[in-house]
Amino acid sequence: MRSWLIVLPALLHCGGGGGDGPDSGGDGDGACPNDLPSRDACADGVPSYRLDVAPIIDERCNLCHYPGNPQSGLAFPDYAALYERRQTVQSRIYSCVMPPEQAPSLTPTERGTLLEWLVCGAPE
Amino acid sequence: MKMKADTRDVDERAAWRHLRPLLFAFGSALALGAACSDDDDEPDAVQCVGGGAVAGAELLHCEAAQPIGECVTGAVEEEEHADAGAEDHEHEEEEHAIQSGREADDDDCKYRVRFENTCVAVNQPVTFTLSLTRKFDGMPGAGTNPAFPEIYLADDVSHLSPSNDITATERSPGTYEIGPVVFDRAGRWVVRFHYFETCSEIPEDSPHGHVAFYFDVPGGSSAPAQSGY
Repeated sequence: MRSWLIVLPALLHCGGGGGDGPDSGGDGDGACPNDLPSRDACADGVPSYRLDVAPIIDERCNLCHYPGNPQSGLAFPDYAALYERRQTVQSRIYSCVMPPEQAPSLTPTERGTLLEWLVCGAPE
Repeated sequence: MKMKADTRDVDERAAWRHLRPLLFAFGSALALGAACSDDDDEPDAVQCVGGGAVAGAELLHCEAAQPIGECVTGAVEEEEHADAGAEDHEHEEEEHAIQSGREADDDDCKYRVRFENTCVAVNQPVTFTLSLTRKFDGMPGAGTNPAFPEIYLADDVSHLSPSNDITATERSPGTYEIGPVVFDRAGRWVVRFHYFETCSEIPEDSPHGHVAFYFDVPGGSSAPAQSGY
């Protein structure tokens, strides 16, 4: 009996796992979705830069990402500028770093359009 | 004399009878503790067979250490926006070289950056341990929240790591565990660490910073031979 009193804390300890230390980032509440589109979808059609993507960039991104903005070194005044930094744009949108908290967020449709266009190679 | 010795033997046997269950219990507890330790689970789950940092010399680019000032965030003045011409590319962020090895100065010469990683395999979670040291004063780069690395295939920049639940835990000042990161293909990847991401990168002394390293994931025919540090 006394033996089990000593073994018991060891057993209880097994269930613990993690939880120590302050975690940061990654939206532990699952708010940032794992919704990276598959390339398979590209065969069914890719969003148009001019018709679909540029309006979203203008409305959501260019509030801050304009040439000369003292807050950001990235600007997307045209297709070439956006294409050149497409990897960073895709990564920051997918991980929900962009748009930042204080800016209007993308709707699920806008997010899906941008990610699909980027995954499919960001054609003009 | 003999009687005294017999008495002692009896005492020792009695003591051993009482101690034996306790020793057994301690032994069992130790064995259970070792068997269920979370810390030991991950390294055992995947056998390390190469991959990780890519062999190669550091690309030296810093002439002097950049001092680090306050984090600047906040709204942009309307006036400045109005004055900003389309031709003004003064603050445009440059592309920076991607480093080999597991240690380098960061892109803006603010931090010395070093990383370690757990075993690397396709579709297995990898944890990075990132250490940041401020170059100008040698202090740890603490409180930087490097939880949002950019991770993509080197020869296909639109192929990102699917991981979107990465956290960064500061284990000691300037040392972070970042993960889980899943690489869903073998081959050469780029891992760009970012820190103080919410601070504007425009002021020269902004704590915001980044540095990218090549990182190999073994498996399949596309895994480069010159890997594994």
